Amino acid sequence: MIDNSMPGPQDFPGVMCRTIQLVGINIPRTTLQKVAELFHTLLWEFKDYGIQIYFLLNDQGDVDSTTEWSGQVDSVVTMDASTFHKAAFGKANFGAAMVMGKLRVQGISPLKLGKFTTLLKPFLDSYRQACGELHDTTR
Amino acid sequence: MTQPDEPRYVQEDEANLSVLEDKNIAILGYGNLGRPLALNLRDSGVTAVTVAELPGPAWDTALADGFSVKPVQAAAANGEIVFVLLSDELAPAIYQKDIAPFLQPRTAIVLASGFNLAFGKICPNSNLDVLLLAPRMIGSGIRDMYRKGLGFPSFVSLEQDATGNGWQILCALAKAVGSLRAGALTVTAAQEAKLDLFVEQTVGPDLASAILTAFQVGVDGGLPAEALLLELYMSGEMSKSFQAMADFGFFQQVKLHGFAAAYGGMVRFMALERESRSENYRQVLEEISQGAFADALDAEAESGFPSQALLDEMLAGNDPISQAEARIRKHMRLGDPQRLPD
Repeated sequence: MIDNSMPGPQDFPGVMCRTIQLVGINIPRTTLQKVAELFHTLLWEFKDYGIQIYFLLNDQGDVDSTTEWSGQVDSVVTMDASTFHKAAFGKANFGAAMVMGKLRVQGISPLKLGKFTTLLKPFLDSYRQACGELHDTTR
Repeated sequence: MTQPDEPRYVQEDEANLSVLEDKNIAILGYGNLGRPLALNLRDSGVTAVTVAELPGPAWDTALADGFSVKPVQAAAANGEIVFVLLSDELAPAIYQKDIAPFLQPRTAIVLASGFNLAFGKICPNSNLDVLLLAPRMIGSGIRDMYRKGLGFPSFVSLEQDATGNGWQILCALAKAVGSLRAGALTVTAAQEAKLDLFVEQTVGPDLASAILTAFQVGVDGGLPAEALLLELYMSGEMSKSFQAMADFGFFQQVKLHGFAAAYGGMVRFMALERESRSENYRQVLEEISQGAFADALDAEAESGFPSQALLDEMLAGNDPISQAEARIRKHMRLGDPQRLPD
């Protein structure tokens, strides 16, 4: 049975950094290169946990993450970690979260949001995988 | 007679249905728009109407409605007047592959949206008449108004006149579908596309945002969700206010409300910051006019419509508003059953 319990505030940054690492593995490099036209630094802001994770992407499609960044931030995604977790495990979805103002995307041109949406499902898939790895190691 | 250079109104007495006599008319696409237009044409005495569809529910509906149904290529080949009523993002590929190669010279093609003409996605051969007949009404309204003996406004344009008869055909079609009972306005395809997209991408999102925000803030502030939705739109009062704008005037309709409503609205309106909205709207219009939106739509299509999943999630009904709506509908009878289409 899949353990879908939510990582606590201590574990969440590690899970998200691993998620981003997996995104770099799971998404084709050509897709990531297209996404890099939108941003090089995307800040994921999880308000309920008070956690910020920076998703770094260069023009070659290389992916990295960090919890601290002093450089320029191109785009910001703001939501609760609980919403993200529920979306990953099918208890909520980004569309409804956006409708109800629980998910906000800033710094991406509306006409380029289509490229950004290509990231969402792989992100959730990678997060589930990262959660599974966390639960395996803590079992 | 040809289309006038300046925008002007087209009335019913300008149209002569006899120019449609013995013309084979093909309706390509039997969806929200195709079905009411086909039914209205037939009820106006234009009987040589063939529907073109892919095998599926729409094909079956057209057959059940008593129309002859053919594949797209065959209908395009036989039509002397061919309505291309396909969605903007799908039409160019279908037009190029399944329509254009089969059209006879001097055929009139009729589009209900200027989008693909405006942005060069569809470039009809010079031996065709190209007509724009763009109803300013949703499909069910087109049928509903026709059955009630009423009309609906349309934008019309003669974009290309290979035969010299394009304007007469356009006026006759506008009359036969029931639009000229209200009247039409000449607006070019490029203007129609910009108008349509501009309002969809400015007033549309702002209205949605206002309603969603009011719902959230109101519920968070302790107002009952169902009562709030009734107040916002479900009672029909809001739509009556919009109708009153059309009937009496944008400002005159305010007089239909009490002083408290007018006073409260006025002082809150005066406090709103509008310059940032204006700046946003100007940018939207510029992006539309320069073709950036059309290009983004192309990119979306070429990528296999990645935004569709997010849109589907938004519209799936898994949200507090949809749930409150369902509770209201369970206990109240709302709406006008006569508005349902055939």
